[in-house]
This record gives sequence, C-alpha cells and structure tokens, in this order.
Amino acid sequence: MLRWLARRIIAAALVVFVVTSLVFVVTHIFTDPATVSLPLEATEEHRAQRRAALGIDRPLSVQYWDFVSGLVVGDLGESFWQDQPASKLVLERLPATLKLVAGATVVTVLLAAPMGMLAAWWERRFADHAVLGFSMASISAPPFWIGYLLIIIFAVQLGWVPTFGSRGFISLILPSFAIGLASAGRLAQMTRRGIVEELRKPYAVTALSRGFSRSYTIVHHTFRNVASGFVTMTGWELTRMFTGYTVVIEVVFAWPGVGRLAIHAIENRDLILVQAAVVVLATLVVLTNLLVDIARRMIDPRVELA
Amino acid sequence: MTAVESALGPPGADAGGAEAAPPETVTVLADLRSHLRKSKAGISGIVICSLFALVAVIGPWLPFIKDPAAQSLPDKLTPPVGWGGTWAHPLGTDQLGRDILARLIDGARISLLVSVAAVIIAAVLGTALGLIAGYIGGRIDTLIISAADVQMAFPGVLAGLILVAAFGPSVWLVILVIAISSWMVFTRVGRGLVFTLKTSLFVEASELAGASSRRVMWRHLLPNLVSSLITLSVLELAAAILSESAFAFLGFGVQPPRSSWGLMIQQGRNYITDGWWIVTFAGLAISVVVLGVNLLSLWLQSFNDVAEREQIILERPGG
Amino acid sequence: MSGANSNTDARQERLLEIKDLTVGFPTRDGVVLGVDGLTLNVGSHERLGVVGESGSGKSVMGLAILGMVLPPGRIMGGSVRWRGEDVLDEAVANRVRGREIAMIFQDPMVSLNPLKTVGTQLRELLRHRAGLEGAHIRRRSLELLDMVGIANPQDRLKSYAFELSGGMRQRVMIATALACEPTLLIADEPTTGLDVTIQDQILTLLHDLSTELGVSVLMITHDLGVVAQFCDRVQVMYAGRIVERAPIAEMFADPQHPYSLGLLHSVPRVDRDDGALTGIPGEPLDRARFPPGCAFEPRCVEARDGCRDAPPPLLKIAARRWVACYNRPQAEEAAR
Repeated sequence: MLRWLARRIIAAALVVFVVTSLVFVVTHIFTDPATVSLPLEATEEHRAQRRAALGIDRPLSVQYWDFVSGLVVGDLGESFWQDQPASKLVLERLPATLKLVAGATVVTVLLAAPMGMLAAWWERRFADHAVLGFSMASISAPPFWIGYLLIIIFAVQLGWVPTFGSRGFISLILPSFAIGLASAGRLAQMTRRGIVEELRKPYAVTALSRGFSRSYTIVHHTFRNVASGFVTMTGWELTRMFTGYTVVIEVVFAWPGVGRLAIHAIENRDLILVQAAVVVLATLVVLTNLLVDIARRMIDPRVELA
Repeated sequence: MTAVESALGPPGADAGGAEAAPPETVTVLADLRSHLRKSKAGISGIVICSLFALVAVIGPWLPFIKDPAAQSLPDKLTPPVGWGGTWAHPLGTDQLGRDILARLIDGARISLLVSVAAVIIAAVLGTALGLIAGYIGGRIDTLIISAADVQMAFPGVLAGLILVAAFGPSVWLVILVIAISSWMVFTRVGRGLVFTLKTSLFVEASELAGASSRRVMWRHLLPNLVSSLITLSVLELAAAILSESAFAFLGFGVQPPRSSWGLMIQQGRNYITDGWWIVTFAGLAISVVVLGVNLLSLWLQSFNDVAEREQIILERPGG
Repeated sequence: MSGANSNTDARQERLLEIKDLTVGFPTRDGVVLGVDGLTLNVGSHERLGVVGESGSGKSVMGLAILGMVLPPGRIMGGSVRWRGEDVLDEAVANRVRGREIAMIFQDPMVSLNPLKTVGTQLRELLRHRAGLEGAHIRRRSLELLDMVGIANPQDRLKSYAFELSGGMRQRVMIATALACEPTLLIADEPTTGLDVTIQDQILTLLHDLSTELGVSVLMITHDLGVVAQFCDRVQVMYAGRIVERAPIAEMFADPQHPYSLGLLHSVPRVDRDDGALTGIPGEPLDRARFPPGCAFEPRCVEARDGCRDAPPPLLKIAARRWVACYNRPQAEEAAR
C-alpha cells in the first residue's frame, strides 16, 4: 500500500510538472506576458522596457528554471495588474472556490444517491422514468443558465435569497444548486445503472437465491461494489467543477473565487495571474484524482497495484 | 476478401470469427430503423436535431425572419407574445430593440458550426491516434496514452483560459480548445476496441495474407469502430455545444455584433429583472438542442446495449 | 404420474413438483421461451440430472424453481410446488429460498461476493437465514468449512474469494449453500471450468454430502459424464422442453430420443468400443427461430413430415421411462 501510494504521488507530481511546463510553453514561447499586457499600438521601446521589468528579456532556459524553482516554493510570479504576488492573490480566493465546490458536492451527493436508488428499486417504473427525465434535463441545460433561472425565480421573483455575492451560508445555496444539478443528474443515472447491473451479477443472484431480500441484497451486497464507481464518478464531477463549472458560476453569481479572478485577469491582460490561477486549478484536479484513487483502493481491495 | 480469408469459410462458421466479422451495413441499418420506431427518445432526438440543423442552415432565408442586427431603440425590451408583446417580435426584443427570434436563429449557426467542427476534429485526430496506439503498440502507445492521461488532468476550460489570455478571444480558438478537450476520449475508446479486434481471426488472416499495417487499420479495423465512434461523437457533441455556450458566455468566442446563444445570455444578464426573456430563451435554445443530442445518444447507446443483451439472451437464456 | 415412482424406495417422498413451467424473454423478434411447458419432479434422497446443451433453458429452470427470473424475462405459466406449497408465491419463496432449497452456481469466482470475506458471507447467512447468534455462528461456520473439506478453516474465514483457488471457491459455495441445512440442492454446472481432478473431488464431495445429510440434488449440466457418475435418474432437455426421462442405467444402455442418442454418441466411451464418435448434425439452437413442430426436427436424422406440426408430448413408454418423439411407436401405444 505504501509503495503504491508513493508511486501514485510521484505520478501525480509528474503530471503537474508536465501540465505546468505546457502552460509555460504557451505563456513564454508562443507569446509573452509583456506583449499581452500592452495594447497593440505600444511602441517597441515601451515593450522592451516592460520585458526588462518582468525579466522576460533573459534567455528562455533561465526563465524556465526560475519558473520551475518558483513552483516548488509556491512562487508563481508577480501580477502586474494588482502589483502583488500572483500566488497570494490566488490563495486568497481559493477558500471561496473550495466552499463553492464543497456546497455543490453536497448537493450532488444528496440528490444523486437517493434518486439513483429510487430509480433502481422501481426499475422501468414511474420513478425510474422521472429520475431519467430529471437527469436528461439537468445535463442538457448549461449550468450558467440554470444559475440565472434560479436567480430569476428565487432571488428576483420570490426574494428568498440574495442575488449576488458571498454573504454567508445562504448565498451559497443557489450557486451550489446551479453547479450540482447537472452533476447529480449524471451521478443518479450512474448509481441506478450500477445497482441494476450489480443485481444481475452472479454474486447478487446467489445472495437472492439464498433468500436475502432485494433491499438487503442492494444495501449489503451491491452498495460496496457500486460505491467504488460512485466515488470515482464523484471525483470526476469534482474535477469538472474545479475546471469548468466554478469559473462560469463564479461569474454568474459574482462569487469571489479563483475562476472569477482568472476572468478578471484576462480582461486586464495579466498573463502571469491567469497562469497562476490555471496552475492552481490544475493542481487541484490532479490532487482530486489522487484522492479518488486512494478512496477506491480503500473500498475495493481488488484495485490493481498499478 | 483475400484468399486466406475466404479459405477460413464464411463468417459465422466459427464463433470467434462471427463476433468480429465486419459489420453488415444493410442489416444494421434495418435493425436501427425498426428499433427507432419503438423508441420515443430516438424519434424526439432525431426530430429536434434535424429541426435545429435545418434552421441553422436555411435560417437567414426564412421569409418572416427579421434582420438579427437591426436595432430599434423605441422597441427595446419588448416582452414576448403572451406577456404583453406582439407578433411583430414573437419572443420579444433585447436591450437594443433587436428581434430575439432572429438572433436565436442567427446564433444557432455559430453555436452549432463551432461544436460540430470541434467534434469532427477531435474524432478524426483522436481516432487516428487511438488506432496507431492500439495497433502499433509499444513505445508509441505509451507516449500517446500518457498524453491522453495528462490531457484528462488538464481539462479544456483551463487550456481555454490560458490560450485566450495569451492570444485573445476568437472563434477558431474556441474550436481548437473544444477539440483539445475531447480528442482523448476517442483515442481511449478507439485504442481499447483495437486491442480486442487485433487478435481476432479476420485481422490475423489479412496480416498473414501480407496486408500492410495501413491497409489493416483502414480496411479492417476502422469499419468495426464506426458504430462505437458515431455513438461517442454524438455524446461528445452534447458536451461540445455546452462548452461552446460557456466560452461564448465568458466572452471568449464570437464578438458582437455577431450573435451566439452563450453571448446572448452574457449580454442579457444585466436585464434579468426587466427583460428576463433574453436569458431565458437563449438558454432554452441551448438546452433543447443539447437535450435533442442527448436523446439521440441515449437511443444509440440503448440500441447497442439491446443488440448486445439480446445476443446474450439468445445464446444462453438466463446465463 | 404416481405410477412413475411406484417401484422406487418406499421412504421416498415427493419434494418438488414442477408443472408446465414456461419462462419467456421478450426480444425484438417477439417472446423467446427459455423454458417451455416443463414438467419435472424431485423426490427426497434423490439425485436427479438435467442434461442439455447451452441454450436449452436448463439454467433458467434452476432459478425459476426458486421463483427467480433474470429481467427482462418472466414466468409466463405453470406451477412450482415445494412440498405442496406454491413457490411462485413470493412469501413462500422467501421462506424456502436458501433454507429448504439452496442453489450452487457455475462460476464461484463471480458467484461469491468479491468484496466480502468468506467469514462475512457465512456469518450473514447464519445470522439472517439460519437464525443463529453469537458464538454459535463462528462454531457453525468452522463446522461448515470443515464439512466441505477445507483445511485450516480459521484462516480461510478471513479470505476473499479472489484469494482462493477455483476448487476452494466451489467448496465455499457449497458450504454457504448448506448453511441452513436445505433439503434440496440445485447445482447448476458446479464443475464447469474446474480442472478435471478438481471436478472429480467436487462431485465426490457433493455425492458424499447428499448421502450423509440426506439432501436431494438436482444436477444441471451439459456433461453426460457428470450425470453418469452422480445421478440416479436423468432428464434430457432440448429447447426448453424435456425430451426424455429415464433411470441412469437405462438411459446409457438404451437411449430412446434421437437427441439423447446423439448426445451419447458424441461422448467417448472407454467401456465399450462402438466405433467412431459422431456429433449431432446441424447448427446448435437458434432460440429465435423455432420450428412449430418438434424443436429437434431440423437436426434429426429420423425426421419425417408429421414432426413439423406440433411439439411431441412426453409420453410413458415403459416403467420409469418417458420420451417425447413421434417416431417411437411404443410411446403412442403405451399412452393408450
């Protein structure tokens, strides 16, 4: 287990390294932060000045070494829009994003697990079709649109919750649902299919043939087998959240998270800050995948030592 | 058929050969049609998709449709019919008095064109890499599959953020980014299928007969992948339309005055109190077309599943 | 029917009575009958074999006896009675399953829960189905594992299925089946996929256990060798129907149905030299395209016009011998 863990952590670190290097290639070879930060009509003299200020006039190899050694100690460069270390800016916003993802995950799991079980229990009956209908609708609607619909209904029309911003727990509700509905739709179908398929497997048939009831068999036999898939899928949904949903939903709800920071950084031509936000989000994705693998291993002793 | 293949007898004479024999297109199509007639999801999916595709293609030439760019400030924020509006603007107007329906139809062109183009690029590139990885194997396989793994950890939106920051927004960039975030799906599935097909009789037979790798991949492996890849493409198309709308919403794609569904939501969001219909209808258009694609994909998957399940039932009742 | 068993052992009691059981599976081409009007009885202290090729519906039958059918299939007609009670009634089935009738399956690797240890699987059976408590559970678990010939039962309680060998897994499977002291054991291809020597050990174990514990066994198999070694009586199944029923010795000495004949001729015999091995001509079963008449007619060497009209009924031709074939004149005579 320990050796497996060590190998898994090294592989994760390697992925982070490759991804950040790719980011460096885009931000320093195809273009550079100085060019991006200046308007097109800027003079060559002005550009050179900015390059020197940012240290981009040095050889690429030196810059890359700086970039990598900076990564190791958590230095992601200086934001020239905010005139502060980029890592500080990103880390300040990180708790808001994590809070949002946590809220969305709670919504996802609390909706998906019961709906999936309901649909599996009443396979091919009304409840099953109703859950399928919910899933199809929720995965077809763009999450940012769901966000606006929720705002129109619950904030504008009914006035139950504040429209924008982050004011305590209550303002977390709408964005969590906006993100969580689609994830719940996918996960509910996965749970249903998992339980239905497990119930057809020989070991479940054996359990039923020994006289265990259907509910006992579902809870005591299929759950652990379905759980491994459930955890994996929840992990995928988490990575989707980190890299897609939070960005748009933070914009919709004016939520002060990393995604909205990245969008503002783009608007202000601050390539270094965008790069920092992307590196942090990508690291979170890799970290999530790592945690999912460990969780799966703990649930299912058969998971390969790969 | 090469000499060796025909010497092995007709497909079906051997269980291994029968499973992996090249698909008989005619019967598959007939089966597909009879299965479609029984599937409400399949029919609705096809109807929705063809309707939207049609509108996207002939939209500008529809006689009763207004100019999507024509502004008319006196008419601004006219509500849709049923909420105090008139048939002059069935779905109302936006903050500049432009007709929502006309802009939706105009937006369909961009939204669908970008998504379809992205999926085609991803499918062609991804499948080619999957075939190469699966068939040739070895170090090339390791390289390609590691690249796919890294791509999985670096999803499209992040690539989109960095590329837009570096090069500024453009439609081409959005197509590229969506293709980048989808190719590895085709690579993984294609590679997996090739692994199972590689050892089947008809591939080994044509290899024995001296067929080149390229011929084996092109003539024998690819046709067997088509049905899986089409199902996968439809699934990815739904994701691509949603990604396109998200990028447009963030302002990364087409720029005004051109219109796209995501962009309409971005522009309408400041008017959700006194012009809720802008955001609502644009989002509805995205949702309905994605629902159509999802229904289609659900049906295609169920068709594959049913075919598989019945095979099992017919061969071994109850297992 | 009672005459069929009149000359059997007096202590034999009728346990299981299946009558006209029909199980259907809906497909795109209409309903395919996995089991088609099957009638069968099992007495106490009996070892009955059901032989047929894959697709003959014998596995479907095994589960249907417990009132179970894998979806989308369903029981479309007939009755299954256990000591006079209707097993197709869910309340009766819940009582009988595992306690009075237990089933063992073909592939113990996938038929045991992969994520639970042997001990856990035995414990939950003993607690919930046998009603044991506390220390009795562990004592009985060890006793069961010992009974099926597993060495070091204490250690094996902590093992997962994937940590055991194929033969061991099937022994564990048998132990779980015997946990509630059933009266009838349904064994669905219990030796398929095992090494020949292991197959022999498992069959011997089952034989000994059924004698010692007085358990009847319904052995479902495609392997005539297994039947010959294990059973007292055999039923041959083709396309969901019983085509011949006979005591074991008579079946091997004098098979009546053309399909039984074909089956016997495709098995190598060491005890007799009757020439070359022959297979059964024609394609194996295609369940979607049954002829309206005798299902075996397209492959039958003795087929004639009359075979194509309706499936032949199972008729008595001698004491304890039944066959379903139009080309057995004595069958018709015996029926009159």
